[in-house]
Amino acid sequence: MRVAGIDVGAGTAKTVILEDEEIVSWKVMPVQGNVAQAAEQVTHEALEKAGISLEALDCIVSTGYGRDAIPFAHRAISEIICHAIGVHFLIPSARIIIDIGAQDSKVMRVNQDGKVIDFAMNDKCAAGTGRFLEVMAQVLGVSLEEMGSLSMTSKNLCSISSTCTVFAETEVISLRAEGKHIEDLIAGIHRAIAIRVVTMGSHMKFNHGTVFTGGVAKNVGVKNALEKTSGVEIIVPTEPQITGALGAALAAREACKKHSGSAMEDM
Amino acid sequence: MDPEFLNLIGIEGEELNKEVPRLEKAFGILKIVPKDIDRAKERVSRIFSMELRGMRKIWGIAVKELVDLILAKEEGKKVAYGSYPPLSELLVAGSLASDDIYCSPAEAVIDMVLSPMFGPDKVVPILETAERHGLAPNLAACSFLKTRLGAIVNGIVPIPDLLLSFCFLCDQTPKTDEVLHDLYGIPVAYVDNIFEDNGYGWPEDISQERVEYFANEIRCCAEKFSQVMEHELTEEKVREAVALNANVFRAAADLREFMKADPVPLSQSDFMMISRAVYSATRRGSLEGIEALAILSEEVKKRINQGVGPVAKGAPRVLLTNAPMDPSPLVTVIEGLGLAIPATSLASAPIKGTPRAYDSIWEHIAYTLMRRRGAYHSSWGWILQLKELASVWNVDGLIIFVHLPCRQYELFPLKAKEVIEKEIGIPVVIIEGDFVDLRDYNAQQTRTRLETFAELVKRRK
Repeated sequence: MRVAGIDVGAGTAKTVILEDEEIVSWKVMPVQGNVAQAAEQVTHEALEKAGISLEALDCIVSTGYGRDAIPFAHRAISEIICHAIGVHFLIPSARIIIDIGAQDSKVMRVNQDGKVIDFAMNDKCAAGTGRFLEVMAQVLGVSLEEMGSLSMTSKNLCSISSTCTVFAETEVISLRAEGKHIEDLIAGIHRAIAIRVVTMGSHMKFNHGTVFTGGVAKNVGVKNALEKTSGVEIIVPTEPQITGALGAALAAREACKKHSGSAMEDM
Repeated sequence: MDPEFLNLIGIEGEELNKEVPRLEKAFGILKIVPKDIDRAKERVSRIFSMELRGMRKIWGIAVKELVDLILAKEEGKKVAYGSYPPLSELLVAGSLASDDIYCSPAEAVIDMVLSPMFGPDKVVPILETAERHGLAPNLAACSFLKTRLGAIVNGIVPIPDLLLSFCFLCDQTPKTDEVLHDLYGIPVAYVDNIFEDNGYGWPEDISQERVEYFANEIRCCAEKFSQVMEHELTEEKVREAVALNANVFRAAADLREFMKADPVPLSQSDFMMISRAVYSATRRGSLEGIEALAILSEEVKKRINQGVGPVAKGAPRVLLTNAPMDPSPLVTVIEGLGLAIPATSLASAPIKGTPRAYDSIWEHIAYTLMRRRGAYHSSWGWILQLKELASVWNVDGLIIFVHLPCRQYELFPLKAKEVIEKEIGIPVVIIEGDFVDLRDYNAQQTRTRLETFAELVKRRK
């Protein structure tokens, strides 16, 4: 059985191709404008990598903000549910999941079957999201990729008091003008994100083995700040950006099993 | 005027000659053009059960109330506006006091028609005007009050002769009324109140001292009304208004009982529109509302017998605390996800206990208002109400809609989620938004929350 999961977020589009239980291919690409085009392109490249055609797929499930705009998907499922499924597949012991993407941050509590039992999500504010990091990286003139390792060299973390992206930008510029070290500022920025996310999900009680996913999970500095703020060990999957797409692919596989013998369009 | 549109809003027969010129004049002031009417027909038919004659009548009541409001001064009336929470007995009594007086919860009337009928296009310019005249943009000030200020400044509704500022609870109403006073010199009558002595006591424990204090405030407001409007607001008129309101409430409550059927026979979009239209009406709309509700009741009974409803039989049922005036961003999405909404806290009266009887009409109004819903109470009062409603309506989940600029309710949803999940064991989701201002609305983010919540509710059921 061959299925695909497509996760189209605000910053990147991700596709995972599954053949039975095995991930045979995956791809991540930036979203530039057209959501449907991004989904098509990333899926095309993932399929090419796997050496199969779109027609060879038994089922396609979409997720993420662009999930309803993908014409070739058979079904759309919320990214919260897909992240939970994907993480449960990779790390069955996970009970709390933190997902920080480009546009939003979420904390989910899942049961032993990987089903969501509670969740919290940021509001429309960009603070505590990947977009916040992007703005700060631009202000400081460093790349997103550098931020994690730079922050780990911090010796005197700067406190960023504002959680608003716009005000934090002013604050960082002014601290930089005061001569604060760039690594200390970045560590402060990571801490500001961690405080916001941990506070948002505090009622779910973080535990050891909390899993961190999404593009921001690639930033070791944010992981470190989350561990310090929450007081628990945080696990980052090898490819934290694709757990949503993986969850969508697993949901597609389940749907295929349930609907075996009937057309996928009837899902 | 487009006959299809007139038919859609239930204006028919002898009414046409009288109402069409007024409607055209009012829509001219609102700058409503034929393409707006086309859009309105499409939206209203898509969102509401307009195949029901009773629903068309309800829409007619709402539109005619808006027309009455817009043309009140032009038609020689003195005008008073009341604010949230609506002390509708005084507004109805004011309108009953004389044919030369029109009283209205102006912003509620404007928003209940413009938002669902035309979407944001007709509302946003009003909000922007208010933002240029003292009410801060974004979430800092209430969009209802922005509507009141912006509509007056834009000349959509008349400058009133009196503003009735009800309840201490909302900090933004007196501020808006202050701006209006500064701009136009409009006198304001303020009605104060106090929280319950026992924060856990609602609805049974409303102290006599509190009833007397609130009653006196209402009486003083009525006196100021008599002075400014130059028509005495007699106790007799107030009693008449109370009786009329009670009839409207009873008719709405009877209809609400039908919402317990499975499948739920009406969309909550319909029911909220019904509630808003009949509760915002202050004179003829109240009388016509009773008639419309009677028609609707018969039609709904038929739906129940046929097993017809917007969501399938056996669907999980959720309680929704409130929703934007335009149902499409929230109510339509929830029902589209297969969740039935039989009730809201807005439309639901307290369940337990026998109400006290008062000889004084002022004390009767004060007590009834405080007992009716949590607006005069602690967060715990709201939570108790939600717990009762969740139990009576036998719901599988609770959706708390937060009107973000409403600062006095920032604490309540968080506490309610905690208490209800723990004590009742149903999932609770908080959706932040705005009753009127959809400029900040994020459809996908709302959908993600609701889809996930729907999964939790369905799995639990």
